Amino acid sequence: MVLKFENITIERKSVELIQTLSTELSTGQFVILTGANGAGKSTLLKTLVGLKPISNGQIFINAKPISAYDHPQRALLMSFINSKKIEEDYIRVVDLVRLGRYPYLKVMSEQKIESPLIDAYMEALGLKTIQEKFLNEISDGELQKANIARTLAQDTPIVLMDEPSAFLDYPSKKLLFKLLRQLAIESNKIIICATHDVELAGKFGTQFWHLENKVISISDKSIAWTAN
Amino acid sequence: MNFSKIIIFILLLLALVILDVFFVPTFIHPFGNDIFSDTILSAIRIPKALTAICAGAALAASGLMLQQLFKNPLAGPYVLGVSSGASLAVGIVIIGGTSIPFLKSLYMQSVSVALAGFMGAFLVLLIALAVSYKFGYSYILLLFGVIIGQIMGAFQTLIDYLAKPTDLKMFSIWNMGSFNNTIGWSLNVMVLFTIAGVIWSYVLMKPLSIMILGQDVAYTLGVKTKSVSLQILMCTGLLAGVITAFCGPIAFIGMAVPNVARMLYKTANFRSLLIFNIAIGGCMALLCDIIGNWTVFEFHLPINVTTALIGGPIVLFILLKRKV
Repeated sequence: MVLKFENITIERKSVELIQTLSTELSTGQFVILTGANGAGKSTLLKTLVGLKPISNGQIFINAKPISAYDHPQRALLMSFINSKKIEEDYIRVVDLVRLGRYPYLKVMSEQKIESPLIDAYMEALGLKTIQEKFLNEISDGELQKANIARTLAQDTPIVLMDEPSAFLDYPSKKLLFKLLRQLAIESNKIIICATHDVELAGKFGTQFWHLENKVISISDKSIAWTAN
Repeated sequence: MNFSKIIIFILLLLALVILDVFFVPTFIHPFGNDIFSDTILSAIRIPKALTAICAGAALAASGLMLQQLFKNPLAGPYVLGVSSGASLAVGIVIIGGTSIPFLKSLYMQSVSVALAGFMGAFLVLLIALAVSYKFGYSYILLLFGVIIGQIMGAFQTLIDYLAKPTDLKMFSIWNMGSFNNTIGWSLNVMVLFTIAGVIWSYVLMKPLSIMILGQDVAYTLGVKTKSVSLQILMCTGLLAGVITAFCGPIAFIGMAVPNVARMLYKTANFRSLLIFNIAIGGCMALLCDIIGNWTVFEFHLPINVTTALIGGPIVLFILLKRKV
């Protein structure tokens, strides 16, 4: 799995945010994307996942432009999470995580898809004890963890995360970044994670993208990493 | 067990149908064998019960879809402005019918009233679609619905002001809602549209259940969010439009039932939630008809009075019980 950016330019409401980004990512990379508020981190992730059009340039997955994949195919290639709160009261945690399997449901027609991944990621994120609780009975942090488990249960080779550590306490943040690094390396995924937890994420990322003045500077060491 | 809750409400629905058909307003022997009772049963009672079930089911289904789409427990066909559009159109036909020569030939035919109701609902729906095309499916659309409702209401008041007293009364009665005006062809049309709309909404339930994650995330899971949202608006317009056309604007059921259903039937399986909604909607509409018309209670109430008197407290109760 190779994710390639070729001269891409990204705009938000016709204001240029990112100028001519060209780079290539292969599996095993856990990219930490940093940058000031409003710099364009979210817009970049949304563009990648197909929620926004690319103003210029091309993005390729395995040498095929992303526009060549149809919508259901893309759901099997890329998963996405933002920090928007889910406002639903009477859904159980485990049912929320199950929603991540929807793309497979479509592929395999109406059959109900149970996957060991649902349980595995709930276990990994410490959700097993609250899996039967309703969303109005858990905290914002727990809800965010459930949403992360949902994203991972989608089991795509590319995972795009927009501030997944929002609402999480310090140990949970650490657990999350550790899990993501492990997933990228051991399960051969490409994970791009926009975050403001620079120092903590710095210890676990394999590549660091910093967005400033419309340019993404790429390095394999974060400042926090070298300081340690 | 959730499944048994559906069974309970379907049994309750059957019980209410029997009560409504044989006891309201007065008792008719089911095996009486005289032509008079048979005629009442087949020409009045059974169509009335069927109409109530259709209205309850259609309004509950459209309320559920709108509340999930807008993530707002107060949304309902009323809030989208569909009912007020229908209301204004019917007002023009009933009240304008006597004074405008063009409308004279249509005057007070149930066909024209139904047609006007449907056209009015559909027109508001078209404007709503245009708005959603520009602004998406956010609260703006709800705000739009409320404002359209106010504007329609103003026109309504103007027409009422200019109307003759007899026409005004006729229109006021239409506005109170009724399950008694659908017989023969109109009942067929209504049942057909309701079944079509309910099947359509059933198909929409699966993608709608993914949309609790937000439109963006749902899109990345492979849901065609724009198409689904558009279809929800159209399906809602169809269901609410046809009910308003034949029964008048029925208040509260569309908003109250989905909230009650969600509280009683806590599930992520929206397809069974829809069936549960339909069962409760049917029960509530029948109950309103029974309470409003059963001679045992020694009063007779128009349907919108009972829906408000029963639905109002339910909505209040839910709002007070909701976690802040």
